[in-house]
Amino acid sequence: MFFSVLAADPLYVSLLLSSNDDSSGLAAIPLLLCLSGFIYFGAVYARYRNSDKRHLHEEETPVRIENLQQHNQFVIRLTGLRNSSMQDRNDQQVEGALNESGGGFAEQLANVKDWVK
Amino acid sequence: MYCEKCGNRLADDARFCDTCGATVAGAAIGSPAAAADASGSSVITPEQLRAKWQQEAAARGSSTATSATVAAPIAAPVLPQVVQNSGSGKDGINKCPYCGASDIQLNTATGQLRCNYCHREWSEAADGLDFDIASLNGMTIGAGSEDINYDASSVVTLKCSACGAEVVIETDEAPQARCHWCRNTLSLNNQVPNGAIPDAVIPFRVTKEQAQGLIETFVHKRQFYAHPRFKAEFTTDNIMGAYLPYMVVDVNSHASLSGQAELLVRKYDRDKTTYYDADLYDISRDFDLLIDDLTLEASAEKLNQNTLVNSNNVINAILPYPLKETLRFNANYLRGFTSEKRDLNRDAVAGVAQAQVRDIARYQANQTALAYNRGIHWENINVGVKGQLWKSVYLPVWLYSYLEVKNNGKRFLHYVAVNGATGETMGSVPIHMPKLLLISAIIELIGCAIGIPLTIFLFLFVP
Ligand SMILES: [Zn+2]
Ligand SMILES: [Zn+2]
Ligand SMILES: [Zn+2]
Repeated sequence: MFFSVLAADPLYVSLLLSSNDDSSGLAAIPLLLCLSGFIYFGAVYARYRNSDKRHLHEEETPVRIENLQQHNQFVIRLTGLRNSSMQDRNDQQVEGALNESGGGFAEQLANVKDWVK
Repeated sequence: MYCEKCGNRLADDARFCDTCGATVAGAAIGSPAAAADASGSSVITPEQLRAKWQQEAAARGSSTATSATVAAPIAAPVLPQVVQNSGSGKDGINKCPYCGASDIQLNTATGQLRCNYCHREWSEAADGLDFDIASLNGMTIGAGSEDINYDASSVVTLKCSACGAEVVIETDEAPQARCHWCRNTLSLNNQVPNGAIPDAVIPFRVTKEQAQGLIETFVHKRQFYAHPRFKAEFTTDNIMGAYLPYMVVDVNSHASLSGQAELLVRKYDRDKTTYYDADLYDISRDFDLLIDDLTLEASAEKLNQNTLVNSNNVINAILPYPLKETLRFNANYLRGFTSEKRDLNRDAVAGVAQAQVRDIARYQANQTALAYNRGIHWENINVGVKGQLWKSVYLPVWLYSYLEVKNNGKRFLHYVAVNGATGETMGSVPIHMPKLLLISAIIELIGCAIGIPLTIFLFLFVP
């Protein structure tokens, strides 16, 4: 189950690989091969149904910023971290997107179920 | 005071408009001016409105001078300043400025109105709702963005000025009708409280033939796994040109964000494991945020973009439109196309607007902190809205639709949508699941046949 969730969307797989810090790129190849069917399904599904597409309001809306004030205060040096990026980063988070399912695994599963019945 | 229906200036004690005949007292019911006026008088003039709004703005300005981050919600229930921008777009017979004929239609190839009699062309003026965003204060709205009176009749009766007949306009279908006696076309160009007349419009520029070409190309690129019934039935003959209702919002705001950010210092390997050292910072960003033309669906049906049950998201994906080119609404732009009435008010889309404004603030703040290559955790995002301008706009979309009936009887409407101004195309094509599952399974088997031995090999022989 866990693997199919990841595999259903090529994006998740690339995220998984990029944060897979225990191994070099070499170990990623068999993982990709073992998931190839799921990745293929996810890619075709996305290309035909485009349910992950939406207007990127956060990037495409014309904006202007003025009177910028910024503060940067050094706190501490963290050493021996295992993650390649900040663990609870939320700088790419989007709250105002309207497409709810967003082409995720649940939607693809529901579509397969509809066909199987 | 002014007539709510046609914008005509009236005596303060007038009970009926002498131009259009609308009842003045009735028109004030449910209007924001009547609802928010605490003085007891039921009618308020635009001048009084403006004065009151300026006082309020001044009061707000002084009380919040010390802290610019007080978060006023989007579309807060304050008294809006209504801009009557459709004053010269008269209801009734719109005549060709050259020959006086009333048979007028959009020429999609030029984006201009064309007289079908003398074939000369012209454009409506800009919508008059362009303000300097930094100077926006409080709530300003176009007359077509006022709250919908859901009890208002969709049927409007106009008196034909050529022959005197009473002509009924069914606004659910189109804001136009032909006088059955003299064959003149009568248009409804001024705002009625049922959401049928927007503040502005972007006319179709993509012709039907161009749209058909774009849709065919889009679908033909997705043929291999397309459902066989869909492939057999696909034709672009009956695609529809539709004007869909949107709310477009300019926001004058101030954003304050704070959080933690990490900067990579060193990356190193030890015992086959990669480690990272990073500097942690407390950061904050504070800026004026001026947002231009945030675009929101103003139809309840199109705002629902749950991709489990519909493909409305593809219509959302063909945004944005060239909103600097919006024109004052004229019903003649709609001839030959369908249009969907707005059924949502500012309040209904304010939550989405608020969330999108926060997203924009976050992305702008990211742009000022690109050095933090391990990412940022924004803890507080505050956006205080100082001023906002709302206008309702009809935007042009070419739509191909296909109703898929699935094995279990479930129905799903697939759209292929073309932006009627820019030609941007996005769509949903029904998939032939047996074929896709079969080929995915074959690829999976081959992948495993290579992948599993390879895993074992790597495990055993690579140090
Ligand atoms: Zn009037
Ligand atoms: Zn003419
Ligand atoms: Zn007539």
